[in-house]
Amino acid sequence: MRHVDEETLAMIALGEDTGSADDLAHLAQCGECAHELTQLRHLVSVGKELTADDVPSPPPPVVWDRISAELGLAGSPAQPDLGNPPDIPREDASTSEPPVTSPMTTPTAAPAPPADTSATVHDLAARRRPRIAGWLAVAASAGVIAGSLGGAWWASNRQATPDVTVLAQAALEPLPGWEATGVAQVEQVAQDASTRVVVVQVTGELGTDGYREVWLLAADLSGMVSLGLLTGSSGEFVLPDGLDLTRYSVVDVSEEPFDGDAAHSGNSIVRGPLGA
Amino acid sequence: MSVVQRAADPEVDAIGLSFRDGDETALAEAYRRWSPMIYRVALRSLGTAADAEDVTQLVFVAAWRGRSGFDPSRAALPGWLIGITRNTVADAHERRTRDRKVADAATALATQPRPQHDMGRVVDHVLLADEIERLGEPPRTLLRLAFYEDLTHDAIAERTGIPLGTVKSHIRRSLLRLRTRLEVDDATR
Repeated sequence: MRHVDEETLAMIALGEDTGSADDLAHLAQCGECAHELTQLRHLVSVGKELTADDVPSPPPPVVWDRISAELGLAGSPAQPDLGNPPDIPREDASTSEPPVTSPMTTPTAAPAPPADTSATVHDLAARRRPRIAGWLAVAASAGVIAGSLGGAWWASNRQATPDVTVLAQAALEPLPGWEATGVAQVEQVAQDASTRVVVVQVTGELGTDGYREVWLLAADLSGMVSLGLLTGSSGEFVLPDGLDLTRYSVVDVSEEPFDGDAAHSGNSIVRGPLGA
Repeated sequence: MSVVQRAADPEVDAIGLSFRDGDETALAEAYRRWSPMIYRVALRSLGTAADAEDVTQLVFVAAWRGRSGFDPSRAALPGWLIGITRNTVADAHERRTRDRKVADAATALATQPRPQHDMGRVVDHVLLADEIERLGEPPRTLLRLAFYEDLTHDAIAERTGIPLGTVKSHIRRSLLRLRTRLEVDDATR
């Protein structure tokens, strides 16, 4: 007798009423298939219990510092690609000391980093519109993001439910030359665990030139994703499903000139790392 | 289902070999890849960020100092690290119990946040959540719709506009992938 095919087993494990009479008869007497179904059912039962609290998240940067110090690592390897980038002002950082200069924090710097040809900074150097467009095309072909999980859909659902979980938040600190602060938080609605929204609220002087744009940056500035335009002092931005917040872990609001250049201007107003 | 499988992932194997041979960049890479998982397991088990940070530190320090005891033919590095995490978390629970006996047991019990003692379950949850995060799109969204919204394959196809046959094969592949990454191993519990 033929074994039950894996697709049917998967559907049964997920609780669907499926499988032919032959399949069910086979399952009743085939230890191999029954074992496989038991494993899949266990997997499904654990999967259905998962919450946002189960998703791995990087420990604070100080943990690596402590490990490195305790082990006396010879080369003192740089902080692995986690946590706060060095140029982000920390709450306890001295404000009299200018942060490490980078193309992202120097208002007068060219928009793109110098090493345009370097593979390691390719994400940042590249005009990101084509990349985003490519990503959106994938999402749209899946028919998921642009349609059912879009911003309007989320907003209407959010009104109906108080079950909003804050997955992460960031205190936004001003970059040199700016006098604004803010907060950002990543929210998830209980009814739709797959949609995450970043809510940004900024207070203070945001400038009147050009327009404001909200970004998520990689902590080491090796890449960035534009979330959209900020009009006024607050906004909500649906995160592209699949966006890895452990990689793009820093919220940034920039002032963008009307120069037709889709890349980050390099002129950030406020910025802060997402944390629990 | 509780241990990272002896994965046939050459990249992971290479990190494991370099780690055992004392290459500090392999330590940094292992930390980059697996500290989020270890930190989250500790956080879920112990309930406080401070304890989870301590456990993460202890695990990587112990792993590095004991790296000669790592046998790549028996386990992949992340599985070995999770094993150390289990022991370290268990030690932390024991220490707490001792401390609690010294302090007033009644008040301590009443005020402490209730951590999750079932390590196997915590590890399963975190590893599975990690694997789901690593699924690409659209498989991840399809699986989430099946898991969290209890949608049937038909309903998922209708919701997403993805053909039913494609939905079925994505979900089947995702489940099988998740299952191979999380393997039954009661011996380590």
